[in-house]
Amino acid sequence: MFKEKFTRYLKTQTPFLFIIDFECNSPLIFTLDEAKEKGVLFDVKGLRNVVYRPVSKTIDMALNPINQTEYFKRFNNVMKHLINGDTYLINLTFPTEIKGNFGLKDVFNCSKAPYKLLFKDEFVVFSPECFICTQNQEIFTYPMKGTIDANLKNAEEQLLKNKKEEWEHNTIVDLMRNDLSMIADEVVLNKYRFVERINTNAQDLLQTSSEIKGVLKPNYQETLCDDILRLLPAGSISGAPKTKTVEIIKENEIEERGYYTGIFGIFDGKEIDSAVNIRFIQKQKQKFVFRSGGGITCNSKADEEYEEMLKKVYIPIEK
Amino acid sequence: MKVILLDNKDSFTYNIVNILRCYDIELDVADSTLFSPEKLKEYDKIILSPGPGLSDDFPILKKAIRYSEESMKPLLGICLGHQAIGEYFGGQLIRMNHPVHGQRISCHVDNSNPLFKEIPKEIEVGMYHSWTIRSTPNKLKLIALSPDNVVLSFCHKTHPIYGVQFHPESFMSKQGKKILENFLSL
Repeated sequence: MFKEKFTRYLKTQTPFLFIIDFECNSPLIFTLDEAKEKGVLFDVKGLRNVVYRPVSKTIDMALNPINQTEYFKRFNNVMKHLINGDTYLINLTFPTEIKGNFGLKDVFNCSKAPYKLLFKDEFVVFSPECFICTQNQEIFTYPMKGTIDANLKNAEEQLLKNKKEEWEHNTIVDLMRNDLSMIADEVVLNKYRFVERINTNAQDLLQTSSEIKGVLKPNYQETLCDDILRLLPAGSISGAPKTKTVEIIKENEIEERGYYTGIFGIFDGKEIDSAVNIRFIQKQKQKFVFRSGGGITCNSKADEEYEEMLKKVYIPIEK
Repeated sequence: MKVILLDNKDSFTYNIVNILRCYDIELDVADSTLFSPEKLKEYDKIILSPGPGLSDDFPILKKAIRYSEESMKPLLGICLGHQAIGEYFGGQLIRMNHPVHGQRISCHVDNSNPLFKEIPKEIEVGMYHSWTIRSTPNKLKLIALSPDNVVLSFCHKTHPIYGVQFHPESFMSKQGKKILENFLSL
């Protein structure tokens, strides 16, 4: 059903929205009108199915994260695998319960991000990270790894000189080059570790990304659905080598990822643009849960990674 | 020329494919855990991909090396594949105190060897490993060494069997494409 619709809409140039979970068990596809009727709203770089004015709102948030002892136990399990070479890079994530002066729709309205999605009253995504996009028969991906508080002295220089960040970034670049090479030809690294700034409710951040490009086959519309599924789960939120790393993730995380760290994207009638579903808040019973995590390598320290995971519990806002 | 690339459930395998696509060869990629060793005879050259864990987790590797030794068909092992070659010829695998995943280092190569033909003596390479072969076994010859004396490449003294601990397919290995081309020219 999903694949058939995906391919048919592509071939008939019918705009659509798609959402795929981390486990690839429950992919969803909607025409833009269907999405709106079902309460699925999106805003991808200004292309949206909802009339709203992004509002400025002060966000207050109280965090109730996984306790450190529990985190450290799971981190140490993962570290054994890293030392053994079972994985070179693994993304480990946990839920943090949050309490604040907002609902999911407020977050959708006031957050500032290139990729925003509100899925009914179930979850909201405000992701900075592109998964893949197409442009004139070419496909691009922008793995994002490495952040620093923008207010630190020489923040940009510190970030670029940080060896641990560099090694982790290199791993994700090689992983994403590999993944694009599975579905495209002539894969090249166009830009390496460029710096971008993000404003948040707490602090401003700098982050590093790279750009990788490949050439799609002339009739790529026929296979693009399968090709995208082949790339999942996305490298930046799983790790390398992927198969073994995903097993280790499942052994050590508390709950299924579901739509968190899956992807969502839109087809505008010509091209696809899609995001990795990070910066994700979901409603579980009557509680709000912010899910976050980070890439762990053999050089990672448990306390720093725990802090890093909590630092990502923020909402980027209009300024 | 038919080349088989045995994929050890790795996530860098298609970086190798992306390079090999530039050459006029027939390339097959196979999941090494499902590949039957009898099929090796259909190919002219064999490449063993990197991969997680230990070479003994992938029993096909040492069978492929034995086949290459008997048939004299060229074989290249990368990272895990390199370690499989080292162990097959009696080398000892040791775990490093500090794994080097994602690191770029400068490496000294013997460019009189066909694998490193027309390559500078000092090259930058990308690495992802937590195990190494401690010293070069008798039947093999050391052809690349890291600044802190880790064995980074060896070849068989009389057979076209080559191992590289570093990753020629990584974007960090600027000479990686040339190294794979040299292997295809053997």
